[in-house]
Amino acid sequence: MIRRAALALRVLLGAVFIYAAYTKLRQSWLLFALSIDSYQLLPEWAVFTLARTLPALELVLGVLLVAGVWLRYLSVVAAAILALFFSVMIVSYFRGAGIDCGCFGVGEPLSLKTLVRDGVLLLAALTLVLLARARSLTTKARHEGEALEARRDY
Amino acid sequence: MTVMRIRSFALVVLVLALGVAGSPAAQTKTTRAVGPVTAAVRIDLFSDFQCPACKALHEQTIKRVKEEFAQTGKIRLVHHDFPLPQHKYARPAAILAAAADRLGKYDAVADALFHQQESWGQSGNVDAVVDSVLTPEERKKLREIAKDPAILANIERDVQLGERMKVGSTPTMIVTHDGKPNPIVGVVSYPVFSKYLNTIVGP
Repeated sequence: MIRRAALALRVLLGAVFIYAAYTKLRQSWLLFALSIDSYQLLPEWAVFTLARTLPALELVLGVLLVAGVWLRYLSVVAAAILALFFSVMIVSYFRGAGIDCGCFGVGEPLSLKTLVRDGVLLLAALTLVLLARARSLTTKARHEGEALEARRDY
Repeated sequence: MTVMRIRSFALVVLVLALGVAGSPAAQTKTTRAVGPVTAAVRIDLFSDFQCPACKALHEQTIKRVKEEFAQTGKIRLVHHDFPLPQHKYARPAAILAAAADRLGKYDAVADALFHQQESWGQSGNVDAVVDSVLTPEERKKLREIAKDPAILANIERDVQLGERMKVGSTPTMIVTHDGKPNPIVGVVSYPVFSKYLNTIVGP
């Protein structure tokens, strides 16, 4: 059960990260820079650096999540990134400035819909963190049990 | 023979009329649209005079974009009114600004409306702000022009155009280059936006 739920969540989150990267990489990186700039939180150099690196990071993270490697650590990274996005979006939404979400390409205004969507993804990532930890503990316990059995048999 | 003369005269008049319509002077009749129609990059700006983000975009970015890109012929910048329903005085402000455009005073009125947005946004006294940048004679003319139903019809047309272009909030700029529209939502700073424009307008 835990295995299946973890599989579903990591594939979902991985696909979302890959799609988010695709929508940014298929257009000029400067358009994504404009989305980041519309949050009015970062200096110019940080806007450009983030616009150049974040899509690649999202792509790598998405692929690794789908592949299911280092799940215990990568689920924490995914949750941390989504928590950061979510908190920035919440602050900006309540500040009331007209902002481009920048979530999946350009042109989507920050709205209640985008907040709910990001909140759901964050919940999914947090659940994946717990499931990955539980799975890891279960696997560890099973290995220990098997080792104990083997020693007893011997 | 007389018929021939009349035809020739009509042809000359038509050619002259077309020439005047296509000249830069005719194109710059309105200051809501700046830059050549043939520019490779076109920006359609949807804005609301009562929205604080529109004020920030206008003051921090649009004025410089107009000077450095539109007035130099690199791009065409077109202002569209998109008064939001929650902004009670945005529509009257848009009407007065559109009327001021016919007097060649759009820039002065738009600047004043954005600059004093907080005060008239609360009091609703849009007229006082507009009057502050006009002469008594211009004020009189403006009141007459503002009654023209075509002014309101143009604003409605702008709103409908925005809805068709999927404008969901203000300010929104639709940057069209190579026939592809890219919506840019919210306040963007001049350094970042100009870097983007420089990459698409070319040398």
